[in-house]
Amino acid sequence: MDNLEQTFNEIVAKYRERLYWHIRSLVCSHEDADDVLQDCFVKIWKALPGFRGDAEPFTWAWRIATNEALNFLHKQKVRAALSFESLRTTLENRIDEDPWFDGDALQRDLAKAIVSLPEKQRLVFQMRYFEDLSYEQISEITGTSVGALKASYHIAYEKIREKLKLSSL
Amino acid sequence: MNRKLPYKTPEGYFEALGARLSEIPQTAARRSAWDYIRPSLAYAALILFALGVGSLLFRSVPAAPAAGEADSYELMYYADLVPRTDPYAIFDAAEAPSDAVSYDSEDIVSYLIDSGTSLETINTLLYDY
Repeated sequence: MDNLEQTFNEIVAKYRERLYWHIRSLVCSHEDADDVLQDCFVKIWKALPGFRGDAEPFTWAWRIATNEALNFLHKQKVRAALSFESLRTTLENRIDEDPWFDGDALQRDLAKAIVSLPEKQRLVFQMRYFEDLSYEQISEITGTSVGALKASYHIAYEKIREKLKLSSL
Repeated sequence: MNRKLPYKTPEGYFEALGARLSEIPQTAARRSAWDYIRPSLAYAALILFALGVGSLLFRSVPAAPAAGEADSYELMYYADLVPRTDPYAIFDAAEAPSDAVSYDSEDIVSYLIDSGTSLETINTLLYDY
């Protein structure tokens, strides 16, 4: 086994679970998350020879995973539009029909409130709230400034709070 | 609020996932020359198909017949819509048919009166031109 393969296997061992949950929170389906995760690690393997250590391996891998998930969602958006449906409706239906959903009614409402957010707000909210990443780490992954991320998170938080208030009425 | 994502995975998923992902370097290495040639062959086949369809379409358009071989229908089919000759040549007296009827001014005045043309207009036509 050469050095590159060893490095790749270390990345797999260290990050596969966290990357799975990161992708899963975005695509709202276990099967889709599995497919996207596979594609993500194929990309990581192909990009590994060119990785010079300019970024932390963690943020580098997260950036690849985020881009793969967002590309997948963009394709889903086109498919949904052809069926005269919005991506939001598609994802809400997935949450309702997901056999691997393991939460209560409030968590279901929270998941649906999150998918109703614009893409950037949804991304920063999930990475901050569920994955507990720092704003600096999120800034490295998304290429957005810390200030803009804090503003996005605050707006997302308020929107979700409002939606949860309405859904509890 | 529980900050854990409200999802679960099938039992043993992550163990199987690790084994599956570890095969990626071997799978990538086994990519054969055929995987590189296949897209080029696909493009070549597409271009050949387009050329074939194009040549069939062009063959279905009939070519103009050679000079002297066309019948009257074909001559009409291939005739220009805009005549090549001088369109005003129809007014050339030298080409008027030999059995053409000639009219004098008396005939013309009678015709104009019978058709209800006013006297003013008749005077204008006969004397001002």
